[in-house]
Parts: sequence; structure tokens; C-alpha cells
Amino acid sequence: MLVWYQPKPNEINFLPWIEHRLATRRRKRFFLYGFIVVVIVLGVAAFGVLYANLLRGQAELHRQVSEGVKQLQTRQKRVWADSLGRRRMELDRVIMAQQEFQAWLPVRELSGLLIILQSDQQLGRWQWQPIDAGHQVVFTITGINKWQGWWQEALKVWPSIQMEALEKQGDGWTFEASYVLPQNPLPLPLGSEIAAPASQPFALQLTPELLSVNIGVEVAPIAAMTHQVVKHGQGLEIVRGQGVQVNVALDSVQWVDLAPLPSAAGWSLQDLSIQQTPSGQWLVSMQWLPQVSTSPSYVMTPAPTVAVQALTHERIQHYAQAFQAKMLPTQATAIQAVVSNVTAHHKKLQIADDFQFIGYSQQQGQIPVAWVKSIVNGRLLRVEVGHEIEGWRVSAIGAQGINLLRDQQSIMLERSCLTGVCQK
Amino acid sequence: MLQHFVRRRVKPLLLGIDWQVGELRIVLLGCANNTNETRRQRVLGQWHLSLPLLSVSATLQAHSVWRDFIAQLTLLLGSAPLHINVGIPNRLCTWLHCPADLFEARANRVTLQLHYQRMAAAALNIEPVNLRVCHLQLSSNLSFLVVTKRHYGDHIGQLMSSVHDAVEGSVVGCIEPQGLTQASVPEFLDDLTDEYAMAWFMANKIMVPRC
Repeated sequence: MLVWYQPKPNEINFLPWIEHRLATRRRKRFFLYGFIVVVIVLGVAAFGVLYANLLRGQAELHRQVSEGVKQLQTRQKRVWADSLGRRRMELDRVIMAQQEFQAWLPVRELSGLLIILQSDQQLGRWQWQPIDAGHQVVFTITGINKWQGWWQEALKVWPSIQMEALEKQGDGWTFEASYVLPQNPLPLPLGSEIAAPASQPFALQLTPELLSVNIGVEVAPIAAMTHQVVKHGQGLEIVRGQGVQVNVALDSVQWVDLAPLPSAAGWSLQDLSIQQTPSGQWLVSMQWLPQVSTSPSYVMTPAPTVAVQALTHERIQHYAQAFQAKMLPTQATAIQAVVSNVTAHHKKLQIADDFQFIGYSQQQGQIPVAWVKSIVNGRLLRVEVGHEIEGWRVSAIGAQGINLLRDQQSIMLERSCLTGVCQK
Repeated sequence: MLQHFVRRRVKPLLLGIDWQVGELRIVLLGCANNTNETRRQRVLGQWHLSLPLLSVSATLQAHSVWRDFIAQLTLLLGSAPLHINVGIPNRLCTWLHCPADLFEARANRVTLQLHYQRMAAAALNIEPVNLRVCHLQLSSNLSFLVVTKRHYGDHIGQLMSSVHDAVEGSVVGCIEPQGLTQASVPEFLDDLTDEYAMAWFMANKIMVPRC
């Protein structure tokens, strides 16, 4: 290294020390700049290498995760495929339990009503219909003695019961009441069959997909249901339309056979109506419609136990036996039957004379309503299809009058022609 | 790097040159080996060379006298650094009085050097590029511009560069006027004659760590 001595203020050096000093400083500065540039370049290069490694690591991680997910999904599908039979059996068991529950539920409610009826009371009409909040039960009871005590008992059983109508009938009374049976108690979910959310990337589907259930109008369920109601024998009427309508007349000894109701997968009971005739028959009308819901309800509904089933049978049988005992003596029954046959035509004429068709109304989306006036006491009655007038059941309502049915007899209360315009 | 630090611990040798244009008297001083010795300095060599002033373009390597000197010097130096101080006769220099506070204090040294160069060139009616100027601050209000011709410095610079090219250690160089100094050799340097007194004096002026 060759340097020129830098003189102090009182010294002299003719050598180009200042140029040499500037060159040295310039060289140091260039070296510093170069060093900084090298450091920056090396830093950028190191960062680039690091970033590239990060990207590669990230891609590798994604690939491994994806492969892991695929392996897990494959393993899950294999496990689920192995358990398909078991899950199918569990689903069938759930569906069977639901069917059994639905088949017993209306009859259990009916038996609950029958068992609290007193000896002087009897069922007039009982109707079961599903609504949004659950099921609605409308029933009519006739009795002789005071009804208030029985009403208090009924309130304990159904706190939501409401009285729709209370009328005097002969020596006794008749009233119509209704209550809403809420939806089933909170069902127990089947943990292994909970529906999974939509699959997402890298999201594991922890539960298998729902098993498909063949729901719809099929011949096999209808045939099975028909086979179940054939046991009721005579008076059976099966109407096939959009749904299945079954009308059957049951003697008191057959009432107990009503439980359980016929049921089939994919069909739901839309209407159950029981009309008790004075002659001791139940005119039962059942209507099933295909279930709208296409997905099965993956809830475990406990089927009624054997004890509950036996209790239901026992209650209905108890009411039937009490009714049979009340219908004795047989002679009176026979005479009454003969008289009823003889006087059927007379009654037919009598009701036509006692009641007068007043008017008719039908609004959009509502059932038709008719008004009938009693000639005897001048009372105005509002009737719908299914109501009873003096033992006659309203079967049809139209603009020209109403049609009444009783013991396979039919009569038409036609509109009066006050102005003569409607003369035939 | 380690080698550099090791070399820094080696004591530098001092080379004083009495440059009389065509005649060179050279003295090489070094530290005495015996630390108890009262005379710390030791004369390692003395040369008297007849070296005419060459043009700038001529190469010194071709000069056999100077080549022999460098060869001898290299053997004596080894890896030690070398400090060279060249004294030139006062008749080759011009002293100009420099007024105080002539320039702004904020001007840097490079700018001041340019101003001094122009001022001396204007005073001597010579191109600034042909001059070498040093500002000598003797007191706060007394300073001089010491001027010499450029080709003297360039020639001596070539001598030093050729020495640097040959030796292993570093070289630090300086040229200063001898002024009116009358030097004499101390008595303990009995191996030096009076002709080498100025060269010995120039070597002793070098500000280096004492032995």
C-alpha cells in the first residue's frame, strides 16, 4: 500500500497527498457502496430463496393435506360402506317406529277420551286432522246429567281444550269440543345420522350422507294398507284418488280392532273421522295422502310400548262393553230396530218437515257452510259437511240444498221456492 | 487480515533522502535490537546515488543505479513498512505570503487547495497545473504558500512508486523543502559522515512511533 503523508497545518508535503486522500476516500466509498449493494443483492437473493422455499413448502403442505383428505375420505367411504347395512337397518327401524307411533297416536287419543266418558255419556263424533301446530281433535259428546263435572276432568287431561258448541238434545245435552295436540315430544336425534354441511375444500365430512328412502305413491304400501283394513270385513269401501280413502262401519265388538290404524311408508294420515251411530256402529273414515317431504325424518320416535298398546285396547274395549251393556235389553233393541225400519220413512219425512234449508255460503279456500232453520223452535243452525241434525249426517252442501244421510238412507233438504222462480 | 495486523506491529523503517536534483544521499534508520541501548536508532544503510532528473515519461526501472539501490533496500526491509521523507533544496521552492481570512472558513480543503493553486500560479505567472502548492500555517495570522514545480514532485513520486513496487510492506511518502536548515550528525552516529546529515535529519523528521 502506497500512501502520501498528510501534512499538519505547519508541515509541508509536495506529494499529491490531497488527491491521494480523495482517491482513498473515493475508493473506500466505492467499496462501501459495493459492499452495501452486495449485501442488498445477497439479502434479496436470500429472501427470494426463502420465499421460494416457503412457496414450495406451502405447495407441498397443500398437496399433503389434499392427499390426507383424500385418504381420509376414501377410508371414511369404506367405513361407511361397511356400515351401510347396519345404518339401513337402523333407518328402517326408525321408520317402522315412526309408522307405529303414527298408527297408534290417534287411537290413543281416542281411547283417552273414551275412558273418561261417564256411563251416561257417549261419543257422537270424533275427528282427527293434522295441522301446522300438530294435530287437531274435534269431538262431539252427548250426555244426560250435568256436563260440568266431566268438563273439569277433560280440562285436566287436555288443558287446551275448547268448547265449540253446547246444545240441548232431547233430555240431555250435546257439546262439541276441540283441542290441539302439539307436535311430538322433542325427538331423540340419531347422532350418527345427522346431516352434514356441504362439503368444502379440505373439509372433512364427519357423517355419512343421508340414506335415500323410497317415498312416494307406490303400489306396495297401498296394497299393504289395504290388506290391513280388509280385516274389518263388510262395509269396507276403498276409494283411490290422489290419496286413499277408506270408509268402514265397525260394530262395537270391532272397535278395538281399530288400533293400530293402517300405516305405510311414505303415506300420512290426513283425516280420521269416527261417527257413532245410535245403532252402535262406528262409521270410520280414513284418508291418507302421500307425504310431501322427500327427506326422511332422521329422528328416533319411540314406538308405543306393549303396555301402552294394551292400555289403549283395554280402554276401547271397556267403552265398547259399556256401550253394549247399555244397549241391552235385546228385545228393546230388536223392537227398536223393527220400529226404526218401519218408521224410517216416517222419520225421513219428519226431518224434511222439521227443517228448512235457508242459505248456502262458500268462500275461496274455505269449506261450504249452510244454514238450516228448525220449523219447531225457529232456531237457525249453521252446518258443515259431517255435522249432524237429529241423527242425520250432512253429507253434501250445495246451492240447491243439503244432503243428509242416516243408516244408508238419504234425504235432500232443498231450497224453498218463495217466489216461484225456482219451480222445476 | 490477520497478516495485516501482524505487520502493523512491526516497527517501520525510516528512509531520509537529501534530494539535490542529480545527487541523492540516502539514510535508512531502524530500531536498535538491544532495548537497553541508549541509542535507540540504528543506521541500517547509507547511499549516495547520482541520479539525473529524467523526464516523466522515462522509466526508472531501466536505471541500473536505482535498481541496485532498491535491491539492497528490499533485503534490509523484509516485510517492515517504510516511511520515506524527501527533502528538496530551498532554491527549488518559492515562498508566497498568504493573507489571513482570504477565503471563507466554510470552504473545504479541496476548494482551498484550488484557490491556493490559482493564487500561486497568478503570482508566478505559471500555469496552475505545473505547480505544486502547500499552505503552511505558521500562526493564526501568518501563513505562506510554498510552491515548487510539478515535475520535481512527479519525479520523486516515481522514485517512491518504484520502491513501493519492489518492497513487500507498505510505503508512506512525503516531500518537504529543506528550507534554511543546517543539519549535523550527532556524535553517537560515528558511522555517518556530515554529507549525510541532511538525509539523517529528514529521516528523523518523520512522525512515527518511537522505538
